[in-house]
Amino acid sequence: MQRYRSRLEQDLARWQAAGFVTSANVQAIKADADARGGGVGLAPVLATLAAVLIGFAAMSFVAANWQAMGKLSRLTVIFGSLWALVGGSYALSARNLPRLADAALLAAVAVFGAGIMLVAQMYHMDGNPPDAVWLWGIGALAVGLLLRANSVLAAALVLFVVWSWMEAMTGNLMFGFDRSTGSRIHWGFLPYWAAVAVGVAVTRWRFGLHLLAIALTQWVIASGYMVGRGDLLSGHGPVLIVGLLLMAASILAGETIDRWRQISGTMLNYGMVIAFAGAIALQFVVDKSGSYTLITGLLALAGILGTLAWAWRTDNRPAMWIAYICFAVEIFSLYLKKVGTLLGTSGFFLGTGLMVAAFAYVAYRLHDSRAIKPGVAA
Amino acid sequence: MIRIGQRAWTDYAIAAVLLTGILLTMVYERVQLLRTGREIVLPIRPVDPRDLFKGDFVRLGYDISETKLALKADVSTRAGTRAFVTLQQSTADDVWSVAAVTPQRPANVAANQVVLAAKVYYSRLTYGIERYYVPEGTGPKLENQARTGKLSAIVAVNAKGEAAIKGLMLDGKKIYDEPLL
Repeated sequence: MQRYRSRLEQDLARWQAAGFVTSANVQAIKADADARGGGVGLAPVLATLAAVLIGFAAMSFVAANWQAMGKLSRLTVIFGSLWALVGGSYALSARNLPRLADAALLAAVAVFGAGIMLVAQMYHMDGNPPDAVWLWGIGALAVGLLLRANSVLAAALVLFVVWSWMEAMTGNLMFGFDRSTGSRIHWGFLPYWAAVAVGVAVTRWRFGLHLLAIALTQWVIASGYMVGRGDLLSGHGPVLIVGLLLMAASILAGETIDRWRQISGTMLNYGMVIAFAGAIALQFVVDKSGSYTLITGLLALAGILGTLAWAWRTDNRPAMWIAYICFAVEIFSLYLKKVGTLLGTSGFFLGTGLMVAAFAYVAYRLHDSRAIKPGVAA
Repeated sequence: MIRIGQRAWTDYAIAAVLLTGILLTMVYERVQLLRTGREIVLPIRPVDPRDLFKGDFVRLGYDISETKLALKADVSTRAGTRAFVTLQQSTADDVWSVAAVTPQRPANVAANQVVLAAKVYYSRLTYGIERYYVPEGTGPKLENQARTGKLSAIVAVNAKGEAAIKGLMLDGKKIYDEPLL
């Protein structure tokens, strides 16, 4: 917020000097910026951190299993803090301090989670550990939807992601999952993801959309690994395809999509992350070498460079950064895996290096011709 | 971000009641199970001492956890499979031991039998009574007692086959006996 304000002042001074805006306009714009508030103030940030700390305090209180206090008193402490925090949140909301109110609600949801653990501990419950996280997520989701609280919706999403991982791990890795029975994709995650998405749609929370996209991205990539290990194509192949489809939609139908909502650039970014994760698994987790590595490596590099060029054309900075990172990871992985012999690897890098240099030359010429004729294309 | 007006106090009340309700339901179900469940005593086998104390809870192993696979030929050994274990009390020494493991709940249960719902992990069976939480720092003491004496668990079992630990006994004497609330 501070940064935006100081940048705005600099720009306004420049625009006023250039005669774009009058001094009356400048005052009006500054007043509007002050009135909107927007941004993230320091107090709500600290309050949210305080909520997290209170949550940890509650959980340590449970872990201590302080038996000097009877069961009923321990429950009273949990219920008391739960109601106090919900009540406090209402008081803050009534005073028109929505972000502080959300922080208090977040703390209440944390205490609710501690309550689940406390009950499990008091009665020596040893069920399916993911169930406790799921129940916590359900509580968070209900509160988040009911009170349209963004931070609580985010907490619910995080809890469902953790729950999904725990479900996959307990079934898949810890107890020797029988690979012959096939897929272990955790489809159960999707309805909860969708429920959080409904909440984010209601509050129109932009950053929440990114959280949802990140959660879904990790789910798609992880699902590739959940399918039997011996069957890479059926596991990571679909991951690659999903990623490529997202990228294709963004590139081919970008304008149509953007007329609906400005998301085609972001779609490209997430699509690229998904596609590259699938491609990396197909190239390097699988135990093949020689011409397989050569061909898949060339395809991957061509894809990355093509995306980089597109990202540059559409001025999509994040996509350019993701492409750089993909490029670095790809090159380093190829170097470690080797294309045939070391000498072969050297030849591969030299060949691709020369090719990229040629592209660079073409790009430079293109850029050059544009620089001469400003306003054309670009 | 757009806020759709101020929140109503009723929404807050619903949220608080909901969260409290979930926790109270957990407590209620557990108390019901402990109060009304049939009481059986299960000997605890000496657990590997390195595994016994883990943070703030003690891991308990039972004789009835280590059932040989031959007994449950018709039960899949896939991790997480549900199974029903029929325990029978011997007339000689009152000890409960496994009589049958079946994929479905048996229709006829004798008076000296009790059915537990279990989950299969490899050749092991778990009943949800494998953890016993102890006050911070008292785990090693219990661990010692388990190795030197004869430790057993008092377990309540309800009609659905769910089990809960009511207390622990050492050499026939209750050492942990907790109130319901």
